[in-house]
Amino acid sequence: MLSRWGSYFEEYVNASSMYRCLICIQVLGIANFSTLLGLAEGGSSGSFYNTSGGFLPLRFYLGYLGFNIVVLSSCLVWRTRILSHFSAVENWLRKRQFRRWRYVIFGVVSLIIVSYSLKLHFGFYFHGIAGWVEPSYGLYHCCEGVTKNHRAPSFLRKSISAKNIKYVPEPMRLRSYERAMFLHFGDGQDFPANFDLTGFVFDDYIFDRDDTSIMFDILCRGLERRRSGTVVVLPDFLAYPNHSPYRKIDYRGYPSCDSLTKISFWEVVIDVDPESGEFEVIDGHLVREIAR
Amino acid sequence: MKDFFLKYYRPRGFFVESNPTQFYLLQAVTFFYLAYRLASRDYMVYGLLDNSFIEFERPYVNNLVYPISYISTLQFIFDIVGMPTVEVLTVSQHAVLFASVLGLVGVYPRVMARIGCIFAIVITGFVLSTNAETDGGTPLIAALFVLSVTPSSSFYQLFGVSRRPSGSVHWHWPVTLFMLIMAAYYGAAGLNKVIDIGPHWPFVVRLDNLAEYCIAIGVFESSRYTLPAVCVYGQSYTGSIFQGAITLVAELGFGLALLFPILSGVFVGIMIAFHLAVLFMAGINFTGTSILLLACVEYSYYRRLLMKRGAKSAVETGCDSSLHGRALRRNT
Repeated sequence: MLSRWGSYFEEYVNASSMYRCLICIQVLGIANFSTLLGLAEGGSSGSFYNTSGGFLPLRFYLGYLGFNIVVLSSCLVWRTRILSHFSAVENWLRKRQFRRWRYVIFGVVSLIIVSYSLKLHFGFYFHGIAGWVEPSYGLYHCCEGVTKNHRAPSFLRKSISAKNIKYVPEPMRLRSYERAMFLHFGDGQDFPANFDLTGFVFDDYIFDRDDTSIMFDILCRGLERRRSGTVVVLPDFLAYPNHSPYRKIDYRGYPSCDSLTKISFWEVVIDVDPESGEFEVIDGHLVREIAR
Repeated sequence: MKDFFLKYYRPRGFFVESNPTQFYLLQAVTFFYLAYRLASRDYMVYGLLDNSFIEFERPYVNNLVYPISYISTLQFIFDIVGMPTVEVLTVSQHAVLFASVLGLVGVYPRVMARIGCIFAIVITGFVLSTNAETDGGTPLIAALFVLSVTPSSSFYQLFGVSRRPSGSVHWHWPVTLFMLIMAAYYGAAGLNKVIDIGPHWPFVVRLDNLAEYCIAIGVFESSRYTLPAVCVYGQSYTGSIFQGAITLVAELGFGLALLFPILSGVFVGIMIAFHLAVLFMAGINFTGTSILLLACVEYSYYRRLLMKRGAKSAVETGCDSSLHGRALRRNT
């Protein structure tokens, strides 16, 4: 048994450097994921990004641990065949013609393999979009027990996109999945808005903080640009949307940001009738308010 | 299957002589997409943030003790010299926008690609450090990198005549490298679906739930962008399985376009449709990548195929005029 492992080791030492690198990367991957596995079991709250589809971090890490183990085992089991492929690659690299670009190509391929095996996010390249599934959101016929709140502010009606009601399959009750956002101005006017004003991928990172000083600066910048109909150079209607785009709102008639006094976020419940296109605000409660 | 393999198996290879069409297209679409992004998106807003926002706290971005993106996207520089102000970013964004337009029209394209590549990497660093894992810019950075390492004589240029001492292989390998990166990019996403969820992913992805989400949030102005008019057609579970299966096959099989050029147009078409569907149903915008994918279609192969078919039908019908005649003469 020992002699067999000894011969494996001898083969490994004498093998091509590419083969050795690949083995090392997979071993590092296993070590890294084993560490993460410990972290996941020990202290994770289960709020790992990829858990939205119902997966625990443990499941996530185990999957990639399995990937590294499969690749490592394949390297050991089919080592003769893999070594012959590697020697072909080495011969390809040794050719004089276009050698510089051969190394560029080899470098890129190596980076892809390292990035995927170790799950390294280099920023300029990463290990691919994670697996995802869509959970049941339960958005249709929500909040059936909610009764009409006559004190809900009338401006909440402005947060409804009436033209899209006709696509709802049947008359039903709906709740705003994302908080309905309003801008309140000094002259008593209230206007709907959304996070398209900011340009960030996930705005909660900025807007869920306790320090609210920066939020008005960010929103005002976005609002002033959209009031002029242009974000950078292109007109708003032609511009390439953000990575997390929000519904298009025409901000050109909005007052200047100087008179912006308050931002508020609401949870709104409405009844819709797709046949008539009518809707009624049933309830609305304030989730958060940020005064200037 | 064997017939298909024998008939259409044409490995692309790296150092093969080719015409410049596909490389020129890659140059054009890359600079166009860079210019389009920079003319549309306000990256100057990152100048309002201070260093406390540079955190890389998302586990998907940072699964090591130390976030490697902090180094690789040059964010460590801003911990030393401080975050750039809005004014600095304004000047930078407009300057790189101008550079990308210059690259598009063929003025020092390689230099412009290098400038664009570095700027795109730094901006991606800002995006990642504010709790995102991507902003859909990875293929653009890859394309800019490929252009950055291509010999300058390969580009179409406004001034000066291209010199190609090493032959036209320098039009071929950059495109092959870009296609390889795209194959790895999509292949990794497909493999992640299999590892994270399982090979039965098409059966559990439940795009019909996504259609419900799309229609329900479409009623509220503060919601993410969705297009309910499209989502009404996506409400069946069977349709979800079909779409899921096509997506998984196209993602995992994108690399086959390097071996079977006839598949390049099919996979590019599927991925463009996939990007549009993700935008319309989930409100996540990767559609710009579709512009870059246009450079992955093997136009010359399709052209040859059409000519060959034209010649064959001309022989069969005895017709030797117009297109058929020309095709016959070119192929004989």
